[in-house]
Amino acid sequence: MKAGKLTLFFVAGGLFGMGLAVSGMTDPARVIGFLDVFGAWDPALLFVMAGAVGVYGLGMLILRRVKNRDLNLPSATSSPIDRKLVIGSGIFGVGWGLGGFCPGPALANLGALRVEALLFVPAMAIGMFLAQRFFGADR
Amino acid sequence: MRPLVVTAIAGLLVGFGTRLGGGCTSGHGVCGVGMGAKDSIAATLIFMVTAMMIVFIYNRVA
Repeated sequence: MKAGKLTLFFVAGGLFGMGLAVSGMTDPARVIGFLDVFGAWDPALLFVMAGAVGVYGLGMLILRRVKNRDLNLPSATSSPIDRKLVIGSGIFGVGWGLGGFCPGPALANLGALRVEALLFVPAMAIGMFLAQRFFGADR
Repeated sequence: MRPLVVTAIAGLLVGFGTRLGGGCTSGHGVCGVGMGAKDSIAATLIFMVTAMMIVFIYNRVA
C-alpha cells in the first residue's frame, strides 16, 4: 500500500477520534443519556449522528462523480435484511445499552487508556472472533 | 459508571453483534444510512431501539 494512502487512513482515524472526543461521544455516560429516552434524555448523539450522516452522504455524492478507479468507493447496493443482520444488530444493541460503548468510541478510549476500554476492547475482540469462528460472519 | 463485569459482558456482546450484523453505529449508522442503504437503516433502528430498551430496564433493575 502506498505511503500516501496510509497517511490518509491515519489522518481519517485521527479526525474520527477527535470528532468523537470533541462531541462528547467518547463518554459512555452521555451515550447512555441519549439511550435513556424515558429518563433524563440527552439528544446530543442524535445531532452528532445527523451531522456525520450529512457530511458522509454529501461527500459520497461528490466522490461518486469523480472518475478515479483508485478511489475504491464502497458499494451503494444494500445487502438483504436477513436473520444475521437482525439478530446481530439486536445483540449489539444489548451490549451498547449495557456498556455505553460502541466500537469506535471504545477504541478512542483505548487511546486515552481509560480503564473500562482496557477491559471492553479485548472482550469485544473475543466477541468478534467468536462470531467469525462459529457463524463465518462476513455479510 | 457501570460495574466492570457489566462492561466486560457488554464488550463481548458488542463484538459478537457487530460482527454478525455486519456493522456498528459508524458502519451502519453513519456510513450505511448516509448512503441510504436499506439494510443499514434497518440495523440502525434495531440496535437503537434495543439499546434504549436495555437502558430502560437496567435503570430500573440495577
